Amino acid sequence: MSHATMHEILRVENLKVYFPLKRTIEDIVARRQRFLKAVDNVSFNMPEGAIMALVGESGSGKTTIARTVVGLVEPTDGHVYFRGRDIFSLEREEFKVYRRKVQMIFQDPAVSLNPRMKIGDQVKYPLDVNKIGTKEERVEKTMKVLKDVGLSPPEDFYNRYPHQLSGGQKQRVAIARSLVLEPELLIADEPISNIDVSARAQILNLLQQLRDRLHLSILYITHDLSSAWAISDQVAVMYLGKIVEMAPTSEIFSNPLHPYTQALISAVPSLKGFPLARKTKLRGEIPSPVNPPSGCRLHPRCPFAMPVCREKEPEIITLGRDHIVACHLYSKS
Amino acid sequence: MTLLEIRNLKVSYNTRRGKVEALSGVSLDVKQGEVLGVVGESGSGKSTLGLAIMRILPRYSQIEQGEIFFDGRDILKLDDEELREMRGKEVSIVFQDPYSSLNPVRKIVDHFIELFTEHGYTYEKEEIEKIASQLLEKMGVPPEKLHDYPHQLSGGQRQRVAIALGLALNPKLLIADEITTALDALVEAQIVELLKEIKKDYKTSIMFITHNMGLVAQLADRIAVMYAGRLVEVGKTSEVIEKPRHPYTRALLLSVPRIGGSKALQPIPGEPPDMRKPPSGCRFHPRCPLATDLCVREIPVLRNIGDRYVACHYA
Repeated sequence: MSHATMHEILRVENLKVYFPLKRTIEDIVARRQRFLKAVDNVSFNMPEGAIMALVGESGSGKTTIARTVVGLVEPTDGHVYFRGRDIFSLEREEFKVYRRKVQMIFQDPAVSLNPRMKIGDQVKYPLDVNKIGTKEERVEKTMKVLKDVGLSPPEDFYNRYPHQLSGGQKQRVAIARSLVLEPELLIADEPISNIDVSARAQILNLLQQLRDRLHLSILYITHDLSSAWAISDQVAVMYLGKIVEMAPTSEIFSNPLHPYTQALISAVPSLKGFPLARKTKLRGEIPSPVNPPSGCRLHPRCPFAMPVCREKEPEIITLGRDHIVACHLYSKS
Repeated sequence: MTLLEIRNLKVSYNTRRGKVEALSGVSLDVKQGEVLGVVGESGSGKSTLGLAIMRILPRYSQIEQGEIFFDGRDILKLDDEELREMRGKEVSIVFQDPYSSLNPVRKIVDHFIELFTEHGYTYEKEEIEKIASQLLEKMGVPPEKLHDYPHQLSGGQRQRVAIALGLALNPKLLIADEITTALDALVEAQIVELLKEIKKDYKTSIMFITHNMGLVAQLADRIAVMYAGRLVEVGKTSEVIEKPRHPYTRALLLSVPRIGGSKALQPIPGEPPDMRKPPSGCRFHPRCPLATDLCVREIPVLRNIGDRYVACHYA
């Protein structure tokens, strides 16, 4: 894919993240070490100012990618480039700067906030740690950010404690705290799945506003296709550590190619009572990533599986503009 | 025919900061063989409703007033022995987390044996195994899993086992409390398909408690929408979804992004109420675009309007 004309903020190249498994007696006898291949050869890039959705079920590796991009996990192989520079070959000081530019928010705001600390102090904390500005400037910045995320009047929210807020408001606080260091890339890991239904649209709107106003780029991780449809520009669908399909949002929803993507879209419960896409039903459930199936990892569940799917891993094929898919149904041979 | 009749039910919880009313006068029916979807957000009281019917409310709570008639008998007047007899045989409940209904150190088959023995059945072990494996097969779990422990099953399989246990004694009502919430999207769709089959093959009524309107649309004959401890709208599923009449139902439907629909999200303004001090009058008034002084002052009653019941002064 070429985004040569656009500024690229993030490029993930052939990323592999393997976690060593605890060795069993058999492993010790056989002198082997088995691995959980959480992310297995994943590549994608994000243009500046984009909202990219990483979609998949639990065990697909989407959260591991997020943790690798922020530098919490080291890759087994492959590279993560931020504005063209490999983040894992940065000097210590440069890496610190990078960690400010990339911030992450999590699923459960109740867990990521300190229950005994005032909202304002928590939001200000990253500024204190990084010794940015004077005391007055830090407070001022905190107020501004609280206002940016819709916690108005900020003076009022500054002195409150987390238990005095609703779930949606707590998530706003977590977002505010991630914004004080003026990041360029925000990684939002399932930010709406643990908050009230009526507050979800508020948070999604807020993420879009932040992108527009602050020119943030957002990597939006979710299992909820409807929200990906609503706010993202680009969608990558993951299954057992691999990207199986990636395309601009409108394209992937109007023309889903991979059977897994089709299944995900047709499983979204529609209010009309009929499926939103051609009904593709998969057999069984997502297997353990410890021992993924051979060939195409979906083949034991796929209604279209052919003999080749069991033997050969499908290569990534580009179909049309920016639409890639890894499925033997579309190979030219 | 009406199977379950809830009349003016009030339930409160004692908290460190005082008494909190979870249900403030709820009246609702479940008919024989129907799937009733109970929709609400956290704090709406929807789970309390299920717990009250089963009479398994936590100790720090009390039923302040009301009646729950099941098949003509008031559940609230049953003694412990009668309740034990009722649970599982007349009404059963399945929860969000199947771990809460499965014992981690006992094999699946032992759960069935315990259930049958508890209810005074004197079947041989082999007979119970036969019944259980047939049931598991119907629920889409390989019968050999009967001799596995809960942790050896996938999340979806565990939930299927929990449903099988719920149905084993052929209850007249199955309460499903957010049973798909902890599952992945594809497994969720499979469980919804399973419930559709149960509805078709058994005569069981189902009370399907959820926060997800889309799921209710797939499954329920009627919808009951709850907000802050009260019912706000009750009606036939298709009618409520196509023409919601309560402002909360309308706002809830609009706030959920819909693939293929408008990308301009319409959030519900404001925050869910603090149930320690719920708003006066109509509890939705602080967030309602139509609210007037009347809504601040007076509690709207759930009244019959055409094809449904709505609790709104301006419906």
